[in-house]
Amino acid sequence: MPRNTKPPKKKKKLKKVVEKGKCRFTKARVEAIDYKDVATLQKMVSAQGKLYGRKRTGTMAHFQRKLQAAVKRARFLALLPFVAR
Amino acid sequence: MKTREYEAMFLLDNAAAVADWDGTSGIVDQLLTKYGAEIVHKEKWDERKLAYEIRGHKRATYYLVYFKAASDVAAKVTADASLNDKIVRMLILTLDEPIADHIKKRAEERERLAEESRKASLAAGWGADDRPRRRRDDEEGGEVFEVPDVPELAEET
Repeated sequence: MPRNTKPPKKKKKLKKVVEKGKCRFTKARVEAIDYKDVATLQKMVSAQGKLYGRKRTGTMAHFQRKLQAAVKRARFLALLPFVAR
Repeated sequence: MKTREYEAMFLLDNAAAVADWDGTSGIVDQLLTKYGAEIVHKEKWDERKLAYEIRGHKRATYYLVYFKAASDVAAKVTADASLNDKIVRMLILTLDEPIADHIKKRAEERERLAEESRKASLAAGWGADDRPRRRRDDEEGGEVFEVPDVPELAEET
């Protein structure tokens, strides 16, 4: 007779709820994201140098597109790494 | 040809820029004026370590130039700059708004963000001089604790 008849419990994945109005650029009423603003850009990329997604940061689609362009420009000018080791 | 307003960032050879800044930045100015561009604003933006090595350069001096030029000038300047050893890399962008407005807005935004971060740090209870930092060994004002003498344990026989 098997000792444990119950099926193993599945771990529940906690859904991260993005707060409404969480976008930092909307809050700060930023008009444009500058590629020279390295401190801001660095907060939006991982340690590896990859751009964080909108779901993680809560950035609005409009600013995510601007951010993407700014990060690419900063990478080209060696302000940010393409890949950090 | 239609005249447009541009923002250009040049990465200059650091050794040359440190030795002779006017001469090195003059190369860029000459390059722009050669094709009839009108330089509106120029500044030494920063001197920093590069995120990755570019043709053996580990550091570079960033030179920011705002200029007005005909729409075909950017391509010519890029082609000429690629032949110059002193210019490590460059990026030319077209501006949607007038240069004066652009510079003014950026300055205002920088000030506003700095003010907001200052307010946030004050709200969090941090003063201007309260930021955590490593205490120097020679710094005065630190409390000195005297370590009491520990009696030696008698050897058990």
